[in-house]
Amino acid sequence: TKIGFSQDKKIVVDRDQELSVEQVFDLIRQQTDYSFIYRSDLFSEAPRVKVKKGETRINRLLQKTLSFADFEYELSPDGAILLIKKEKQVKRKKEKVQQEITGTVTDTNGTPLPGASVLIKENTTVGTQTDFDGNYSIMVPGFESTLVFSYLGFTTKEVVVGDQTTINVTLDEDAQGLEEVILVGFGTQRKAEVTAAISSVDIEEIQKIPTADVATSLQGQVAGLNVAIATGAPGSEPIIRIRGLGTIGNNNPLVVIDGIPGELSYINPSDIEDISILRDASAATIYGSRASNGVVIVTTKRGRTGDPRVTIGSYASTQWFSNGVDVANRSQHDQIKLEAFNNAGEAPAPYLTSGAQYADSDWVGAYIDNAFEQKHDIGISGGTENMKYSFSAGYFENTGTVVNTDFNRLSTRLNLDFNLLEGRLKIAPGVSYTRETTGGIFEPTEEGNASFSPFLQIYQTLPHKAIFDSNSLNGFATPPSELGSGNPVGETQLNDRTDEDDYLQFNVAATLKLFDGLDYRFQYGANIENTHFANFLPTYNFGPQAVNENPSLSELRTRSNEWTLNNTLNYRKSFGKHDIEVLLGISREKSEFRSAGGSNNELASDQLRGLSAGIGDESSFGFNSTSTLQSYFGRLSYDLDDKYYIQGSVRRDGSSRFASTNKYGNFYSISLGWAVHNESFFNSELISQLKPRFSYGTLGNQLIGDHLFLARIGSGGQQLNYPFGAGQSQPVIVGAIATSLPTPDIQWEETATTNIGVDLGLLQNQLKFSFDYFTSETTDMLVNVPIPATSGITSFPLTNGGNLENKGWEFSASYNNSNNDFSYSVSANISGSTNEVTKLGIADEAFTDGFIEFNNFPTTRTEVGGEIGRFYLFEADGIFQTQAEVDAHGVQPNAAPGDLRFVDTNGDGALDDDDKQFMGSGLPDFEYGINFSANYKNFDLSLFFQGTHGNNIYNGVRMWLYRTDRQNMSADLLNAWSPSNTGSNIPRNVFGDPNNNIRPSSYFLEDGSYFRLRNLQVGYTFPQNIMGNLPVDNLRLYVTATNLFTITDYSGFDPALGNGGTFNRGVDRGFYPLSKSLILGLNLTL
Amino acid sequence: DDFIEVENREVLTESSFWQTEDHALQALTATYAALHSSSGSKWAFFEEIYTAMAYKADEMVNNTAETYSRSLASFTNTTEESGPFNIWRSAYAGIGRANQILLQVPNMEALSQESKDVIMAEAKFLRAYYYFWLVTGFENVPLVTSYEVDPDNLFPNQVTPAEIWAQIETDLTEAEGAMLVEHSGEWLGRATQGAAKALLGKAYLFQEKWAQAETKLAEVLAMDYALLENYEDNFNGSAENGSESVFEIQFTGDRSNGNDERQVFNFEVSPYAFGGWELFYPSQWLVDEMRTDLNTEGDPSDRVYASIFFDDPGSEMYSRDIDDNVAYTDAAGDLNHPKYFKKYSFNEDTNFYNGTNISIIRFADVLLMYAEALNENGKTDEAIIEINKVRERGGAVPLAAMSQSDLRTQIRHHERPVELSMEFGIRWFDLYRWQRGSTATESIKTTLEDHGKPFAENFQDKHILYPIPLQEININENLDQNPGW
Repeated sequence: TKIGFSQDKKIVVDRDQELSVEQVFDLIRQQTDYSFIYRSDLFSEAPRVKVKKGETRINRLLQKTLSFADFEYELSPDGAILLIKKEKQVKRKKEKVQQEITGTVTDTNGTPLPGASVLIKENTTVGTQTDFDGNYSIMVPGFESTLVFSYLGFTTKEVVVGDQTTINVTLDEDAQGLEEVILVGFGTQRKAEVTAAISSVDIEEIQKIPTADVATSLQGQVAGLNVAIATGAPGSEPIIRIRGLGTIGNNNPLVVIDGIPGELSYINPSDIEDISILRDASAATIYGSRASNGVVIVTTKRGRTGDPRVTIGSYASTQWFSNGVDVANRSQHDQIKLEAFNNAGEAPAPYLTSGAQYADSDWVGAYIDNAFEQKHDIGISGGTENMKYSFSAGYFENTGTVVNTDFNRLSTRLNLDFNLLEGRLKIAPGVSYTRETTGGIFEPTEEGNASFSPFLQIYQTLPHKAIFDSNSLNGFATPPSELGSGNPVGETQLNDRTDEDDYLQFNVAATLKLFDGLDYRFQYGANIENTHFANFLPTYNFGPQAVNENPSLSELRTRSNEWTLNNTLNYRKSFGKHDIEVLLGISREKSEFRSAGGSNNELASDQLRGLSAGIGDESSFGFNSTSTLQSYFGRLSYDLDDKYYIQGSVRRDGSSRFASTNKYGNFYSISLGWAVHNESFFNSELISQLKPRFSYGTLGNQLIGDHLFLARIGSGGQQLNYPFGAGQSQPVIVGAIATSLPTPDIQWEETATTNIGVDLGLLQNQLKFSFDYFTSETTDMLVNVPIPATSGITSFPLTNGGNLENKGWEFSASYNNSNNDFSYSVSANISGSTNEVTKLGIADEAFTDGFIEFNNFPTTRTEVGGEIGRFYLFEADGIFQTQAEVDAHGVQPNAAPGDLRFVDTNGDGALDDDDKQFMGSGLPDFEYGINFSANYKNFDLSLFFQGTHGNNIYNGVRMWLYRTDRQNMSADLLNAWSPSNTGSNIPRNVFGDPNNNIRPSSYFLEDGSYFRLRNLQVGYTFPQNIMGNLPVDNLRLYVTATNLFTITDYSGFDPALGNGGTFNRGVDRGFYPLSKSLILGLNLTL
Repeated sequence: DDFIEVENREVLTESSFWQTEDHALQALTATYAALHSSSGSKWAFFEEIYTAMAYKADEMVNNTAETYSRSLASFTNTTEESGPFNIWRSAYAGIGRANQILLQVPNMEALSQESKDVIMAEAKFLRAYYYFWLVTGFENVPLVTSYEVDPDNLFPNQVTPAEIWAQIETDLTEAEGAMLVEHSGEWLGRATQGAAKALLGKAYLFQEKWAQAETKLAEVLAMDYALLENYEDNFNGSAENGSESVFEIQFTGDRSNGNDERQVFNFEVSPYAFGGWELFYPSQWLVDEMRTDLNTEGDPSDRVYASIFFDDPGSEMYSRDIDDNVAYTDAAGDLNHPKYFKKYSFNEDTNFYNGTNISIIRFADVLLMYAEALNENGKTDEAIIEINKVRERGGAVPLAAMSQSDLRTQIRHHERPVELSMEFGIRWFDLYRWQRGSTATESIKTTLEDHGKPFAENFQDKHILYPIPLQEININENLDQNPGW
């Protein structure tokens, strides 16, 4: 993580010079993100420092500069280094037996380390420091003494004096960085202290992935974090899951941005300073409610002390996709369909034999096009010790690979930091504004009954229809009536549909140091989201089924106000070997939502866009809801001698979503860690870190609608309204009645998680491993419990009606190596989880989902004893070759040779629902990511691979396009089974599909495993000497290719798509494909 | 803790409802609304409920390119078939709402006893009608007559069909006395006394209670109903809730304030070439039978021309594509299929869907049911008089005298299918009751085979009933599947 003190940072010195301490600080500030906080008179007496032309590392320069006295460093989370002069503890004491030892302390390259500390272990009040040349001299009491050599950023070494008088020591750099810190709930922790399952994200790596969306860039980066892309449409939000599925209710993790719950999708990835993923209960308990699905903690960039520093990042990209679904052209279509009619013994539709009078259109080609993407960001930061600023502005645009699906985003952010009262009071306000404009198409990503994918609409449009017609007013062709209605390209193009969302985030934190170690922190944050959706349809006529006789307009505005108020007290103190931190807090959150919409089905003209111009039927609608949360929480961390760590948290949450008796839920956790490598008995050259961890904790979930505990009366709408009165257009009368059951007893859903993990470091932590195993049990799961329709109630009541067990493991490894010109690092992560429903509903009911079309073709089933959303399908085991085979099989009355054979699993002589079998699910056995990055001289290279294994996908697109009874179909069907093509694995073409070959079966279930080169980037940083006198500090150019190749057996568009839902995960209904892209970009620092 | 007490500003609740007469009427309206399916969706009504009720019959063939109820039509459906589930779910949604009214309305202070009686009577009528769907479709269904909110009471067992029939008779008998003879003005379309009598008569018919059927249906004849002069007016919207209407499902073209309570029949039956969807067609048997329904000139009767679009010089149909009627002879080259239904195909709205009501019981049906009861009661000559009223209105020559058994066949395989072809919930359930009754002359399978029903060879006895929906059995383990499924 960047927050830690990275000793690798290089400082360039352009000439030999002698500098004051403050001038050295300036030099460091100019070239890094670090700033310094110290009493203004601290360095007034300090000696000047000689520095040589060339490169040096930051820690060496600092040590050298500060070696004249003893300083204590403290790193603040925002990268500031607090310098406090220590009272001279290191004293030379006269001892009875004195022996002088001298020597030199160097690093592995033989470079002297000035300012390294040399102490006598038996009496740490005695010690000295190395001089400018790394030399020291110390008087020791006897030969049995042990000298302890330490240096910031290097591993400490102990040497027994014995009979030596000269001891030269080489210290190894600590690759991990001892002071590396990690974001945790309401603060930071040293990585060494962490006992919970927390991952930090390598921001530098993810910022190499050019995307507008933070979640997308997190895909494959962290073990246990699953990012599923529901659709490739620009601006669409991917689905984030931490540790698989913990509930069948809402599985979205909590996202905390700069301390305030917020929306990840509105953040410009370039603004991010750091991200942590809290995976287990002990890490998340401090967030109590809403944290049961894990927490993503994000901080944004803040200013550093120093002159204004300008960073510019810019790229342009072209995007395309090539893996099109192959649909039949006109002659192929005619051939397939004539065969289908012939096989059904039906007369063919007249258009099939009229061939050449029709067009031969490429509908898919007209629907998609290469997209252009660009992103430009500028950041300006700087400040004084007392006031720092960071301002950024960004623009992103993607024109979409599908017509009318452009997306753009303007974002800006200003973070300020004030240090008042000599650093005792810090006030840190931040404000950001984002506007997103999305054009687009509706996609059926929702659960339950599927709506129809616009892509399927395109695939199945007859090639015989012309697309364009220069003689028509709007430029699009109206099909001849015998081909049916519709021009989906025209309908999409003419539809003026825009979503304009404004998102304003404001937060301010004030931290007051009350006295030594005790801080009070106040934080207020507000998220204001205003959306405006407008959908305008001009007049058009593409046949009787695709007529819009009047221009119509529908608009919806929503307004969401959320605010959070946190008050915390934090006490952190060391007492010798004992480190204690206590956090106490209360928080309040309120979320208000209102919406107002209206529509008019006839505007006075196509040119108008205001509802007041409406002269037809109008309607208005809107919603109003509010929810609140009130919480009390505390955390105690204790660390003994950097060896034993224990942490406990409690949180009590009250939610407005439950009735008065059930408002509060109490959650707690405990975690333990043992730094075995710090034990004196542990002495291994190989193992530099060994830390087993254990945690247990409980969390709550209240992600449900408001006021569900009341006995609600449904009112109005299509379901309850009914017309009465005279005439064909009698008025519609409003109906109202209870349509749901009262559920007054609903309460918090609770998840208990146990985590066992170990961190292992080898070779001075050059090679690191981390492994976690977890089990979680969710009880009183808030689920919409299926109840019999005989109740008269068709909406399933939400009750605490389920239990779920989730188990999984995560493994990550990283390796760094560097020498002068060449350095590289590899990191990899892999994780898997499985879940089992152990209770569902009142009488262990089952859920059916994964519908391929409205109310039809369900493909998944969720029941007690199995995983959520398992595929539940007939097993197809081949194609009947002869009538004798059909007869012998005996359970498929309408089958003929060429049809699929389905297995009568239970052997009861009938093929029915009892013969369906469970066939895996859309949840992978494991998923993984591999990052490789390397630097050679001025070149850098990074590769990012990512994939899943063991998940299935139901290819609903193939199923749909294997039907000869709709309009157009897959070109695969040219190769369908026929008496002269008996080797085919595609069933015969027959109109009406009497055997129901398209029934949900294993025939359309495919292995969704894939391995993908997600990102490949090559960069070049211009050397200082070439940059010469240009007013540019740093210039890097790069080329990136994304999704360059994918290895998969999946025959559909993209195995990474359509994995979003809980019950319909892995059901491909035809989604917006992911693009490949080629990107040219630059990073510039002024 | 006031902070986490948030006032409900979103939704009406039990404590603010059931206060005024308007509330009671809103609840009643919602009970009617289940006639459009439990979701109120016009698509669920037509593509699920209507097709599931119609597709097993001999009078129609489905467009095999469409999956809706396709496997019901070919007798290859499984227990998961969505159409029967939608019938089940919608019927019980309506029953549950009626039960709420019967639970709450008696305690409401704001209503006069008279208002309460009328509202509760209509609730009972609707409950009986929904049970009619269930008992004729599934036979073995739970009897739910109270509104339950305790989850433990939501898992009923099935009862015998006789118990359901008894409940239907009780509800209708109680309802009939309290219901209004007519609703007018803004409430036109609500069920009336005549509807209750006619439905009760129909229920007797289904149970072969011929004498009670005759008596009850005679009471309807004595009321103010009359056949429309023009047969076609029953389907083109010009005589909605008119003199021939006993009970209709109301639809409307009104689109104000986001309403959409339209029906889609015209779209579903029209040829592709006219811009329609052609979900189903008349069967060849029906067309052949209709060709024998002649007027005095020896041409097909008016009711035939109003019912089907077929290869005949006098046949024409409305085309959305050109917004006018087209003669069969002019359209034949573009047609995908040789014959089409045309009832309800008249266009009234821009998007093809319109507000034309769908008849549940019309007076012609009452006359034919009455005639059937008379015939079974040995009054064949009187029966022929009633049938001839219907034939003459439809432009067909009157029937001459015939034997009781010939008239039985005439009613079963000519008069009812020709007069009532394709109308909601008629033909299949006629076949069902004739098969189930003591007067059965042949099995349904034989009828289907004789009438050339595609896939009739797949028909087994289990297909007489719908399977209990798998979706429901999955939830309620107290339910037993129907025999054979």
